[in-house]
Amino acid sequence: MVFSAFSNFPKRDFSYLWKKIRAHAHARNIMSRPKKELTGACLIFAALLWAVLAFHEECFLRKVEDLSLFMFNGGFILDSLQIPGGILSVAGSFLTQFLHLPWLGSLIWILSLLASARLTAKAFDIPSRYSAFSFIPAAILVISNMSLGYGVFIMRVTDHFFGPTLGYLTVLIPVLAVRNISRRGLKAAFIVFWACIAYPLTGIYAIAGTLSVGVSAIRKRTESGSRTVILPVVSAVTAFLIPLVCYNFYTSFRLADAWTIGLPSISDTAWSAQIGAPYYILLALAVIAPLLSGLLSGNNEPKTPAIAVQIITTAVLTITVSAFWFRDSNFRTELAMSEAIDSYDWQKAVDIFSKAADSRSRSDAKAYDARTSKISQARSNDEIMDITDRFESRFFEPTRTMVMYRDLALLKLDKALDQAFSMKDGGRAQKSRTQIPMAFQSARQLYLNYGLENMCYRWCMEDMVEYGWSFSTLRYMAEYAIVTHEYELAGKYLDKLSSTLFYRKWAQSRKELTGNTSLINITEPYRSIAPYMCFENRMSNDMVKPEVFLINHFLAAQPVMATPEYDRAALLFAMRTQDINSFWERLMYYVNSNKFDRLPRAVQEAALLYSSLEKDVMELQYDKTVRDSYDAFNRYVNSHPIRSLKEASYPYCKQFGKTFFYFYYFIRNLQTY
Amino acid sequence: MKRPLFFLNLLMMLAACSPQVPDITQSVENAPSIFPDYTDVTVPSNIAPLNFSIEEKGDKYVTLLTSGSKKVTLGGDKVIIPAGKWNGLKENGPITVQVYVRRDNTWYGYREFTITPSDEIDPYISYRIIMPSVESYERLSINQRDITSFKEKVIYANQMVQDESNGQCINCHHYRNYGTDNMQFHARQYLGGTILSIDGQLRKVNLKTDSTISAGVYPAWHPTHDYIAYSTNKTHQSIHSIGNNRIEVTDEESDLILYDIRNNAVSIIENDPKQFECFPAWSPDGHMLYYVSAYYDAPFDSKRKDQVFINYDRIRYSLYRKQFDPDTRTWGPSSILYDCASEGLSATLPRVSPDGRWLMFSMAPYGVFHIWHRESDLWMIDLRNSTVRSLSELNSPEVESYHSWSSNGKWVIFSTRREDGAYTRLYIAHMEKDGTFSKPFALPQHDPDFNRTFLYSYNIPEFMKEPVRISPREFASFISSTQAIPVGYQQKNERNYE
Repeated sequence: MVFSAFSNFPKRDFSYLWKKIRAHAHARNIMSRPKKELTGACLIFAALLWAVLAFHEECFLRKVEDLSLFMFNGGFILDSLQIPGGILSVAGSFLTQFLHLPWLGSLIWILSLLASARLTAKAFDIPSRYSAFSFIPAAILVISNMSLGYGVFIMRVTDHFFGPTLGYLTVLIPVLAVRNISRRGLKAAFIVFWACIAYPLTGIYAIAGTLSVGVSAIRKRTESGSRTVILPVVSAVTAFLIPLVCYNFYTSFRLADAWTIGLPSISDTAWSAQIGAPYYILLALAVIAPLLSGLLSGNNEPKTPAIAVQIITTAVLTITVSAFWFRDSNFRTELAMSEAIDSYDWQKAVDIFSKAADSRSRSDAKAYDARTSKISQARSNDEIMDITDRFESRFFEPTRTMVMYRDLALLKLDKALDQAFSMKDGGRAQKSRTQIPMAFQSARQLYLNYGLENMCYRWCMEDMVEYGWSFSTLRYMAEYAIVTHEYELAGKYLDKLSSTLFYRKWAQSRKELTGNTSLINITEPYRSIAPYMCFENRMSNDMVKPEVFLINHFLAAQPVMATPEYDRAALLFAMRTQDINSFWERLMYYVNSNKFDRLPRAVQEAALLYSSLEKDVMELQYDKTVRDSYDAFNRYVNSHPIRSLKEASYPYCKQFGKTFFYFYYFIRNLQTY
Repeated sequence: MKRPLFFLNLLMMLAACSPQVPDITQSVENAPSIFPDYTDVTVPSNIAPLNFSIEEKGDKYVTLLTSGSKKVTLGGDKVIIPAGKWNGLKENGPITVQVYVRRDNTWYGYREFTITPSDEIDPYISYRIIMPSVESYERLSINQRDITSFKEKVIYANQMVQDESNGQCINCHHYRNYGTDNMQFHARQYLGGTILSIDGQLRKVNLKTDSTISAGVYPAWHPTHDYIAYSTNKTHQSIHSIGNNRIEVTDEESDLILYDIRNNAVSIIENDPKQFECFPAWSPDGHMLYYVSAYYDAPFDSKRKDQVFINYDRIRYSLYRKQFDPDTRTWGPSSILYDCASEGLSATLPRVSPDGRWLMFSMAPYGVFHIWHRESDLWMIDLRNSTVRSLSELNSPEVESYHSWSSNGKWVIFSTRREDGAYTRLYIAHMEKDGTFSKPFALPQHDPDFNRTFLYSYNIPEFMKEPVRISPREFASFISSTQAIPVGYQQKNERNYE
């Protein structure tokens, strides 16, 4: 039967088939080893990337998830559909929630990146010897997410981690689909159909896919010598017209944005270029990829061995990704502390801070040695100042957010007046071109826990308006409503969280509290928030500066019903201002309301320092160690003249970094933000 | 032969699936707990179905709606009444609703409650959708809702014009005599101006002049002549550091102006430097302007703004009125209508009923922006004999604020935060002949739980006899492409009306 079938095959065609089979086998033979090596290399890179993401960037991934939102309810999905690209946003948000478990979320993301590479190679016919090029889109997607840094706090969409990745995959769908359609007219009809369907669902990615099909047709036309321009023209016209037509069905964006809708959006124009650039490059690349791939295919006699091309490409991609990867240990520490604060694990927040500071002690010493060596060769004071400035960033210095988190945690642990000034202090700027206000990062956490509930409400609401709802804002709104005993309102947010995957249990545990005021009063964190809510109402506005606002709040008129906790916080903030009068005033209130065997160490140090500065040493019971430390400090000052505070900071810190004396003299002119 | 049998079986199966009123039940004395609370309410005869959720615990639910000979049986704890059946029920008069709940294999029959159809209501309302935030306004829209159904459309949304760096706030939509050919709203900041539709023709004006403290803010379109009265305000907001009221919105200065549409010019109505005049409202004949005003005497210096916030709870507004001759644009003297400030209370938002007899306003212990005052209630004054009363039948422990009369004067719609203390919802109530109101009910939504899940507030509900016909894109295109035209300034004409 088989033989009879073959016997009917024309001889000419049989020889042609045979040649094809041989050529194919030959090609496989040649390419099999590099392909295997490449696959192996891919898997190693993917595994490395996964390990870095899951175990080194886990706090960042969880923050991305915390600032996103996916709910299993129709209202959430319908709301997302009010803008083109809504379905993509829903799908992206659905996957972003898995970053709650960084190992799982990053695994899904890496698999989708690998899929993007595989489909890129297939869609654009990238020759095997250049197959590493198919990872360029994946690399851009990694850069877009991992270069974000502080930008994560001003992203307006909740799906930016997965959304563009999925969006890019949808760009490839029409390119791949059109390959399987043989008739030109059908191809044109399909692309119009695709754009009509895909634009409302994926926005700009549908336009990019449509254009890419047109560019693919141009490539095919060049290769085949065909003169038809139907598909490129239909693609271009469709890409232009469909957004224009669809605009009439929406009221949620400007006409000018109709061709870019679906891209991650941010609220700060200063960040627009930085954050938007990778996406525009990615989509531009997707559109012109067929032509680039055509150029590569046309290179018949390559001089460079295939394996070298792969290695060089991989190396360039790795270096590029690494160069754009946002690395800032303070940022990482902030995120980790933020998580601890979110879970009211005060000791953990303090430990994270201490660990971050301790881990830098060796590098600080090295930086100091290197700086000393340079200074010893300096010829002028200006040069010394210049060297000091240049070395400044190599020393550990916390950001104000870290300090604010730490002080809050120490106050909750009732250790602030003993330990707050024995830890590193400062005001290192964020390692980014544009500074994100502390309010965007931490206002709701600080205000909730310091009992300024209306300010917590304000920042949750502002964030919801500016950046959309997130797991974080819903949680904090629920906490706010529980603290203020607005149980209907709390229920509203808890109901939302009940329809999420990872916050369902949390919402349930909070629901059990709502309505039971006496239980709330003895349950953490509410038990430790209540003592701070003893102040009298006054009109206020933080002007987007929580630290200044908190200082002014605690140093305002003494509440009639002030609690010991309130007075402790007020004394701490008074010490932070380095204002002598405020210290004495708050010390009086503190002494009246708090019970103690001995004054906390930092308070003794401040009292001793201030009274000696005022040449009227107050007769308090100073510990001998405090007096000795102060004497030692004075002796050290006399024997180690200070040329500049910056230069002297490190050696003084080594000796007296854990005292209020050091804080008073060396931690100066801090800028909060 | 087989096919008819198959369909018969299918019909019988469907019939078996449809809810059946249980035969034996234990009676419960109370009406069931439902959300929204539609028990024993009077509703407009043309209102959309009053869908509700049954809040009683149970594993099975049956609801029987009866009106005359018509009966509708529905299952499930979400009672979604089909529009056709609802209309059929309403035609037959009062609808009795009985809810049955099965719990622990026992059916409980709750006390019947009644929904009474009454006078018709204007078929459309419009409102602004906004998150109850302090300063941010990323996503605002003015929407119109057909309240005989659940259809809602955007009139204009700021997202159609604003971009990342240029935000636009929109507010104060307002109509002349419930029609939409003559309407207005403000677009603030980016491409801002007052957007007017005058007999369907759009105009964008900048109402700020050198002689006025701001552009026009709270509007009142004259019922018979081409004038719009506005307040002008220098408004600030701040946050209560603690306490039930979260936000305080206070004026540092405010006056009243009149915009002459034909001559595109404004004139002063009231600008006493020791008074904060605000919220103008015309009588139906257009011969009287009602407004509120608070006495505040402080120097106009750099400390004024801070002082206003220090004294915020001592600024109280009383009700005033001022005669007006629309033909000659001539004002008479102002007179106080109700001196609530002397009683330690503060009135805002006066709105006169279409028959000119009643003036409804909102009242709180202080201030002018009562949507942020939980103590705020609706009050009403009988203009025939000046008797004033708190509308306790409408009020709740939470905020009642903005209110609007229907064109036939039979209904009021008002905003309230009674459901959760934070999100403003719209409630409607019927006015009885004696000046009292029936029990207010929530604006019906297709999903009865909508109000619980919707994280936006409804702002400034206004009745309309017809929908706005200008499309959102026409508004957006007009706002984007048109510069606000400046207005001229006219002298105020005054006369003693004695």
